[in-house]
Amino acid sequence: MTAPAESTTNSGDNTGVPVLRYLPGLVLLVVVGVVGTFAQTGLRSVGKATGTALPDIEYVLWAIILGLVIRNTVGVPKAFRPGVGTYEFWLKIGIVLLGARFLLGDLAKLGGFSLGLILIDMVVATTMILLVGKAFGLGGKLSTLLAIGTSICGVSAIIAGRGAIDADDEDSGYAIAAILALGAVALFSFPAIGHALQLTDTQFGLWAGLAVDNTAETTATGAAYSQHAQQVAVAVKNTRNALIGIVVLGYAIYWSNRGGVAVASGLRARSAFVWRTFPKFVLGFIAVSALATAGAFTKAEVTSLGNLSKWAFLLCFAGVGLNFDLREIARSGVRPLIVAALGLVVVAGCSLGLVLLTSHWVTGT
Amino acid sequence: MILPRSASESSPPFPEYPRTPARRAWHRPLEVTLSTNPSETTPAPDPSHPGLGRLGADWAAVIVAAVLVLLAVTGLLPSIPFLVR
Repeated sequence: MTAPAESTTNSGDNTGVPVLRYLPGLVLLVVVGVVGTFAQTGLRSVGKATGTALPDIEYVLWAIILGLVIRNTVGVPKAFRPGVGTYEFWLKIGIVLLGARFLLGDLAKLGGFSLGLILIDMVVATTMILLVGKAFGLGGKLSTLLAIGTSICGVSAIIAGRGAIDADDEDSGYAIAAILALGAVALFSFPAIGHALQLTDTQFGLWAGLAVDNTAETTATGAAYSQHAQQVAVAVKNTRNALIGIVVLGYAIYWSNRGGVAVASGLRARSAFVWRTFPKFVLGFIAVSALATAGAFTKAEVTSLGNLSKWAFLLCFAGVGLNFDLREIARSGVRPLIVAALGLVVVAGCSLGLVLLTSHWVTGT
Repeated sequence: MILPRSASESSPPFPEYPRTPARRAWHRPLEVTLSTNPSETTPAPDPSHPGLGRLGADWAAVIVAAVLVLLAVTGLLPSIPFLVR
């Protein structure tokens, strides 16, 4: 999932109106996303018309597959890259708007419940990855970044961790590539496993929210199962995301005497660091949920906001595929990928066990 | 909070993963694009855009969503359909 640097800078562009730079890529995101929805409904219609049992592949997966095929066959021309690179922006808008479908009480219950599971997962993932990383000869900082990415929040946690522990660009690149590759694997394998185990929507949402590393892939994995699973997955993932600052600060303190960077000792400075790394869209998500709880929206408005959220996610999912370059993932090397894969397997297994054991506490959320 | 590392500090405790020029060239743009953390990825503020140039991606998304929510609260949001179900 990469896009060239041009996509985020103003240099080297031939148009004087910055917004126009994004237009071609945005159009491509819309086209890929809409074609994905037509692929799902079209396949359904064909199955119905012919009386055959065709697989009901969700538009989420179609959009990602189409994007992935485009990126890895004809490629994404330079003019499209700025717009295609905006997919995380749409993801955040979608998450904030999704808050309209939650009551604050349910959110608090889900967040509080998942927090305990997240902490268990975090300990397991960190221990596992640091040990296996050492066995595979990975640098300590690379292993740390993989542990941060697996246990907390994929790419954004790795990037926050990179500066905090003074890891170099290449280590963070390896870690990001590994986390993204495994996110793609989870995206296609988790729904199949969930159906095979006959998980409920809540159970699957909890599992995806706990075990899938990157927010975009978590959202897509949930959506590939059901709308309710997606909502639960996003709520749980937001709880994980909210821990970025605290966890990265912990690693920064650990590394400060081991070839990292010195960490200021004052509470104020540390609080400022936690705030700087805190994903602000989580606050937006909670604020919209508070409005919904206060009865600020009618049922029709909640539906419209939910559908707007789906549109935003659709652009994001198309972007996930269009940014996923298999050749670049392959170039990142095998060892970080193996270590992260083992981490994912352990976290997925551990999370699934925890969910199956405890999910009756949040049934109905 | 993050201070520069002193030159006297020790090297990493584990042997480093091997690097190649191809990998070096690839990783830099990767990090720039994919972050969800605006403090790490937002380019240096453009002096010609003192307001929007400083706005992080997270806050920008929150503001756009807030506008849509405001439209809903005030009853101005039209009915939005979706293509599936």
